[in-house]
Amino acid sequence: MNSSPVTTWSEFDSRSMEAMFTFADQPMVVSGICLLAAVVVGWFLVAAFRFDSHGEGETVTVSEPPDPQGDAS
Amino acid sequence: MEGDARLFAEKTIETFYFWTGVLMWLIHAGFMIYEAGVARQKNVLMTMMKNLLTCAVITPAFFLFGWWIYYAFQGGIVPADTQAASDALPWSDRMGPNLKDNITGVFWFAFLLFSFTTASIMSGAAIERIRLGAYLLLAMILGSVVWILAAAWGWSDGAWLYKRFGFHDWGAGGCVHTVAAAFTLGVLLNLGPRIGKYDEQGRPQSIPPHNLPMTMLGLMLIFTGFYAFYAACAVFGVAEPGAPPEPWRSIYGTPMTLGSLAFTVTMGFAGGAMGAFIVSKGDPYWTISGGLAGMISIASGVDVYHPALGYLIGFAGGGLVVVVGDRLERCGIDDAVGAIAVHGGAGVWSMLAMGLFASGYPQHENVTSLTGQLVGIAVMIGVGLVPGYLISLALSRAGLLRVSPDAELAGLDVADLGVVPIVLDGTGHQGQAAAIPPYEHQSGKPQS
Repeated sequence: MNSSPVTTWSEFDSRSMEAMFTFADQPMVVSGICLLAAVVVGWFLVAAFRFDSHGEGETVTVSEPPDPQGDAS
Repeated sequence: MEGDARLFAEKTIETFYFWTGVLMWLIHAGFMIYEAGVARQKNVLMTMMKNLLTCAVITPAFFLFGWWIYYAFQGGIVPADTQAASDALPWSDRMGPNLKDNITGVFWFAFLLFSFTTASIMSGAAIERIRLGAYLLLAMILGSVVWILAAAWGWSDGAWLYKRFGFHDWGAGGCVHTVAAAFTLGVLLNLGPRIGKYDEQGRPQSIPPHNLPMTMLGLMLIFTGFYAFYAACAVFGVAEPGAPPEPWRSIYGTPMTLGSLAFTVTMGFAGGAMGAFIVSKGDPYWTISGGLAGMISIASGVDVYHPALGYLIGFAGGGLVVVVGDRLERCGIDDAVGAIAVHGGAGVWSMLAMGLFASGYPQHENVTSLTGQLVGIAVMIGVGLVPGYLISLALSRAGLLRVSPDAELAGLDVADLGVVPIVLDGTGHQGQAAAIPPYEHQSGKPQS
């Protein structure tokens, strides 16, 4: 996929084009990529919420290690 | 005054590369902690010894011939008799303290740290059963010959892959990560899995890390060191008197900014961790490995990617390595740390993504293209896989590749070092296992 905003070596090397990132000359494409990234972040957050809740309903027992000093009180 | 300005600029460059090299040591502190966390308790100290000796064995080899290989083989398999190659010979005036050359020493140092990284990628995959001597020989060959030959071919301003095909691999996703992973795959094919990794039906069994928090801390150090790794990939040049100001450049000479690293490497990390989290369903080991995979996935195009595109490429890479790791395990490849998946899977994806999403960038006489990237991928895999397989095959045939089953079952800390592992009893206190009898009484009895 041709995404370069510069086409010739002299143009690139002279830095006549300031923004030189992928699709810099196609703002709609850049906006679309940003929108897609936002959707992916949302997907991740949904997965994180589901992850937190996947132990619901189960009893988790955590045993404390014995006190090496004994029960002084 | 002009001379003073020039010397000041050269000292600034010298300082920059010197400190990138120093900070890259964090990668190796990270690899050591990461792999020690993955190893079972009976192998922790020997795992760390291998990491330490990796750096030791590669350093003199890279000084004696590795640096020369980089300059001599940029055109192919016939060494070139150029001034640059002569200057890289270990007896050259430039390969030592030289008051007219502030640059060679720090460049050599930065490349040496890249070399350590290639061998460290292999070290984790082969833990708990490879012989120390065999490992160090393989590490020296990978770190001082194989990767640097691939770098000469694809990661230098005279590289034939760059000149003929427009191959673009800004952050060495090919010559460091893919080459090291392919070499490792070749070694593992001959080394075989750890005892107990597969049951009698060939089904993979879980050998969980003995200390996952330690592994995660190690990866955080690797992340930090990788910023220095990437910074060292940028060429800090000085303009000749009267010439226009000189920008940062890639190793190919294309203009760039250091700020692109700050954007894209960090976005790639974020995407990789998130992608791996989703695909692995929240597995801590793969989630943090996915962060590294994300940082590798964007390597080839850090200089040109829009940060949001870098995030998406990192996200795909993070998810991909979980799948690749699972497939390799099912194929009988026991890669103890997932190195082939993370560095090979993400490394190949890095080069491919550059062709898919960033074609058309001028490269002197050429442009970046999918075709160029595909050629580069094939070359990088071949350069790593063939020597890794053949050398380890020769070692295996000579009975020098793998420790004995007794030593493997007893654990290498006891077998090689006579050191008894400290085992906690599950309550956080030192338990009875600290009194394990000597190795000769342990044959055939796994300790953990």
